[in-house]
Amino acid sequence: MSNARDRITAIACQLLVKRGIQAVPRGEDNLREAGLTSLDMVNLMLAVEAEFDIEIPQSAMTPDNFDTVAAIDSLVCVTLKAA
Amino acid sequence: MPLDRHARRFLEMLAAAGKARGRYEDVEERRTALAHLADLVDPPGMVEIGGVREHLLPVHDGHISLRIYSPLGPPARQLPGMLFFHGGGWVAGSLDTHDGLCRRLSNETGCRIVAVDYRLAPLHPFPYGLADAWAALNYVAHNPKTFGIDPMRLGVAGDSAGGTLAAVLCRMARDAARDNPHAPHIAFQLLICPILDVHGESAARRELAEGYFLDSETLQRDLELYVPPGTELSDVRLSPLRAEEFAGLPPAFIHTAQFDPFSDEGEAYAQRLGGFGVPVHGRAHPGMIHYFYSMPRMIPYALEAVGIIGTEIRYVVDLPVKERRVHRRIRPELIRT
Repeated sequence: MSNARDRITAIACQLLVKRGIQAVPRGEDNLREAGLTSLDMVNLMLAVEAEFDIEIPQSAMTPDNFDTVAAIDSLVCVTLKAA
Repeated sequence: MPLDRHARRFLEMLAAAGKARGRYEDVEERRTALAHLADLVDPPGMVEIGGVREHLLPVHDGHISLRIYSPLGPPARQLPGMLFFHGGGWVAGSLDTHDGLCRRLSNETGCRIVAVDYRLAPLHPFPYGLADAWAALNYVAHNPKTFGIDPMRLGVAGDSAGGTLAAVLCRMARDAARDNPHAPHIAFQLLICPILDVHGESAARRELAEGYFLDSETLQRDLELYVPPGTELSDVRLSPLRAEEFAGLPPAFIHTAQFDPFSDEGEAYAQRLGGFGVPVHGRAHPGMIHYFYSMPRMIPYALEAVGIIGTEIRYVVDLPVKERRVHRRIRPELIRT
């Protein structure tokens, strides 16, 4: 079982591939600048929720929390601990 | 009623995703965004259906595609029919973005659906799209055997900007019939969250101008690209709500959404039609946003809404209903609950 960051990176890679972008975002790379559209970001949020069986709370639905794989990783950890 | 929790969550996610708001410069950006949305909330080709085929229709200066959907069930030589015009502000949208909706509409209504890939602005501004829609209506109405459609049970339907086209076709067909006994007969009109007054001055337009999925600046940009300079916005082919009389139009099924900037227009249109003796049914879907009906993966109520529409249309085309429901005439209090 890979760690959370690897699983999030894999999801982001799948979405980038759908946009014709063959790249593996590093932890601090901005995902929008990497090529994800706003709707890809929504897709990413849904996929992360499904992957970790969590519901991201409304208070955490901010752009900063989804800028990078590292930010999403932190958000997932916090949400899992709170569950 | 507050926003449906799924709709609210979708709006929250869009906000967190840094959705590009407001005015766009490149129309391809607008088109891609709608195509991506469809991929996310209702990917094409996923709903099982009796059959799908395409037909190329020559029109002035070119060709347009028609996509014909047959409902699940035993093959039938002749079925009621429904022309469908997709939304997308007359500048975006395609057969694919509304493929899922057309498939569900076909299964739920029992109609053979002919989705029309009318041409879009800015390359084809008003009235190109409307002319394509009129050509498609005439072609299907005059060649019913080609499509396996009963020409006396042929309706028109559309969502959002496609709803405008459907509503205007009804007026054109009614007027044409005064001089031409062979004018197409429209048995019903189905308008889903239609745009019916491009002036955009209603309370809903103001109160829901931002943050409810479709921003007013996007709509304004759509209109700039669609309407050539010098065209009157009160032209009834752009703003059918601005017409002075509505007598003799086909029975209408009008579905609005509580948090849709176009909800007031749908309500007002229902009232005007009803005032001229046109039978009107429909529903103001509480807690819903524009385009909800095409978002089943995000907003599960979309499936229920299309089921309601299916039952209504089955009544009017005289097909057995799947499920009996009570229908109410649209009243203002149903719209703005």
